[in-house]
Amino acid sequence: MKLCIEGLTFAYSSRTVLEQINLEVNSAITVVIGPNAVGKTTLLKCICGMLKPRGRILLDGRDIGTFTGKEAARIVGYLPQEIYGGTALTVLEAVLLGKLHSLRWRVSDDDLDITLEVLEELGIANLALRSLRELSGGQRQLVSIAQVLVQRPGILLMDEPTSNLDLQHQLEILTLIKRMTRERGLITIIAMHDLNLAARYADNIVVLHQGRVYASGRPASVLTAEVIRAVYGVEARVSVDGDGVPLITPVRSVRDTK
Amino acid sequence: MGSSADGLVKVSRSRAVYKQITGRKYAYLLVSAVALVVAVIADVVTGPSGLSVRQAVATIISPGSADTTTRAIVWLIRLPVAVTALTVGASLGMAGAEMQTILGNPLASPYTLGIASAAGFGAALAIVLGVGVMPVAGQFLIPLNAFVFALLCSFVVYLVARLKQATTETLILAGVALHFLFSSLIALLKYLATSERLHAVVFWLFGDLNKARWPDIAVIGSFLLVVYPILARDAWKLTALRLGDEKAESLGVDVERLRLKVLLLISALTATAICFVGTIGFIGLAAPHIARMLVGEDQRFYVPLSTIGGALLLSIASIASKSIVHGVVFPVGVITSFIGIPFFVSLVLRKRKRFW
Ligand SMILES: Nc1ncnc2c1ncn2[C@@H]1O[C@H](COP(=O)(O)OP(=O)(O)O)[C@@H](O)[C@H]1O
Ligand SMILES: [Mg+2]
Repeated sequence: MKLCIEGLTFAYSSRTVLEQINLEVNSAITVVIGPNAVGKTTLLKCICGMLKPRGRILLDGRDIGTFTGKEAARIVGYLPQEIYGGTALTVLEAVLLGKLHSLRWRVSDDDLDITLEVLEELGIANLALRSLRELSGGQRQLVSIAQVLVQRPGILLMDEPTSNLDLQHQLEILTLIKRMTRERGLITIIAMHDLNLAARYADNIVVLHQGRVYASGRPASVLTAEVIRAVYGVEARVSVDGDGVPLITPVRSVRDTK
Repeated sequence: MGSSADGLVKVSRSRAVYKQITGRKYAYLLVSAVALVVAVIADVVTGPSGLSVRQAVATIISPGSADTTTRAIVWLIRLPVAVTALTVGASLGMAGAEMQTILGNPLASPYTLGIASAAGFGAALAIVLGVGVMPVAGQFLIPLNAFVFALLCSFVVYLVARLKQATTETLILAGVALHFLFSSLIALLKYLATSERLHAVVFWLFGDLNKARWPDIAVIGSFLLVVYPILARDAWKLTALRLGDEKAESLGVDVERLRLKVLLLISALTATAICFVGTIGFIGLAAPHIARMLVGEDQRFYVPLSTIGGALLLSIASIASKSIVHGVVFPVGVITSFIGIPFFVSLVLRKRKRFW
C-alpha cells in the first residue's frame, strides 16, 4: 500500500496550520516529529478523514475523501493524543469497541477472540475485568492502543502512543508496532517527541517546521545537529550508537546565551 | 490440527471472560425486574381502603372474579396510578440515561435541558389563559400544550447547539437559559392567574400520577415500546460515544447525526411522559446513575437497567406518597423532589470521585 499526500493545506478558521505538505508514505513506520503546536495532530486527523484539508490524500490512487466513515473506519486505525478515561466500561468492553463495525447485539466469538488476543499481546489481559476509571494513565494508553489494534487496520495512525508509558513499555509497544507493520505490511504513521525513540524505530522520519515539511528521510540523514538546531532551537550532539542508530544528546537551548 | 484445537480453547476462554462481565449484569437486570413487579403490586395494594395482595393479584389477573367494589378500586383507581408510575418512570429513566450519554454529562437530565419547565409553561398557558397551540384540543388541551412546548424547547436547544457546533457545554448552557426563561414565564402566568387557576397550575407543576387515564397510559406505554428498539439499534455506537467524540468518529460513527437523532427521540419520550402527569424530578437523574454504578455503560445493559430503575423509583415514590400520612395522597412530584435534592447535591460534591 502507498499513501500519497499532495499539496495538503489546512487552516482552523483563519489560522493556517499546515501548508503545501507533500509526502509519500509506504508500508513502513514513518515518524512525524516537530515542536509543540507545529501541526502533528492536525496532520494525522487530516489523514484519517476527521478534518477536511485542501489538497489530496490518495491511498493506492483513491482519494481518502471518497471513503465513507464506515469504510475509513475499516482501513484506518487512529489513536487520539488525548485519551478519555472517565467511562464506566471494563477494559474488555472498551477494547471490543474497536470492532464497532462488526459488533452485533450478540457479541461474536471472533470478536471476543481477537480482543483477548490483542490484550495478551500487549500484556494487559489481566486487566480485562477492570474498569477504565480505575486504570493509571499508562494502562489506559495501552488499552487505547489495543482498541486500535483490534480494528486490524491497514493504516495505523498513532498520536504520541508512548507519552504516558514507562521505559520498558515504550520499547515493548514500539517493537510490537514495528513487528505488526512488517508482518501485515501496514502503513504506520506515528507522531512523537522522543527523538531517540524515533531514531531507533522509524524507517522514515518527517520533520515538520512552521507548517511545512522541513526534512524527511532515513533517521540517520534527517536527525542531524543542524536540523535539530533549526527546528527545535536546541544545540545537540549527534553520535552513532553501537547499532548504527543516531543518538541525540541535547546540550542547551539556543536561547540560553551562557 | 494443533492450531484448531488451540483456537477452540481460546474461543471458550475469551467467551468465559466475557461471561464473567455480562453474567453479573444479567443478574442485576433480573433482580431489578423482580423488584419492579413487587413494587407495582405493593403500589396497587397501598391506599386508604385495605386490599390484600391476594385480592389485588386475583383482581388484576381475572377482573370477573372480584366483587364490584374491589374491581372498581383496582381497575379504576389503583392500577392506573401504578401503571402510570411504571411507564412514566421507565420513560424518564430511559430518557435520562441517553441524555447523559449524548451530552457526556452526569448532571444532564430532562430537567437540565429545560424540557420540563417548557412543558410546565405549556400546561400553565392552557390552564391560565385557555390558550392552546392546537385549534381543536378539547380535554387534551393541557397535555398537548405541554408536549408541544417540551418539543419546541429541545428543538431550540438543538438549533442553538448547531450554531456553535454542538459541544456538550453549549447544549447544557442553552438548556439552563431556557429553563430560566420558562420558569419566569410560568411565574408571570401565576401572577396573572385567578386563585383557582393558580391552584391548578401549582398542582400541575407538582407531578401527580392520578391525572393519567388508561388512554393516556396507553400512549405513554406505546411510545416507550416504539423508541426503545430504535435506540437499541445504535447501542454500540452510543457506547462508543463515551470514548470521546474523536475516537467514536474514527470508528466510523457520525457523531453529530447520532446525537441529534437520539436527542429528538428522548425529547419526544420525555414530553410524552410528563405532559400527562406534570413535572416529576430526580427520576431521570438518579436512575441512570444507579444503573451506571451497577452495570457500567454498555448500552445493552445500561439503558434497560436505567429504564427499569426509573420505573422502580417512581413506583416506590408512589407508595410513599400514599403512606406517609394515612389517608392523604401527596403529589408524587413532591416526594421525588424531596429525595432528589439531597441526591443531586451529593452528586455535585462527589462527582469527581466516583460517579462519572
Ligand atoms: N480545534 C482547533 N481549533 C483551532 N486551532 C487548533 C485546533 N486544534 C489545534 N489547533 C492549533 O493548531 C496548531 C497545531 O496543533 P496540533 O496539530 O495539535 O499540534 P501538535 O500536535 O504538533 O502539537 C496549534 O497552534 C493549535 O493551537
Ligand atoms: Mg499533538
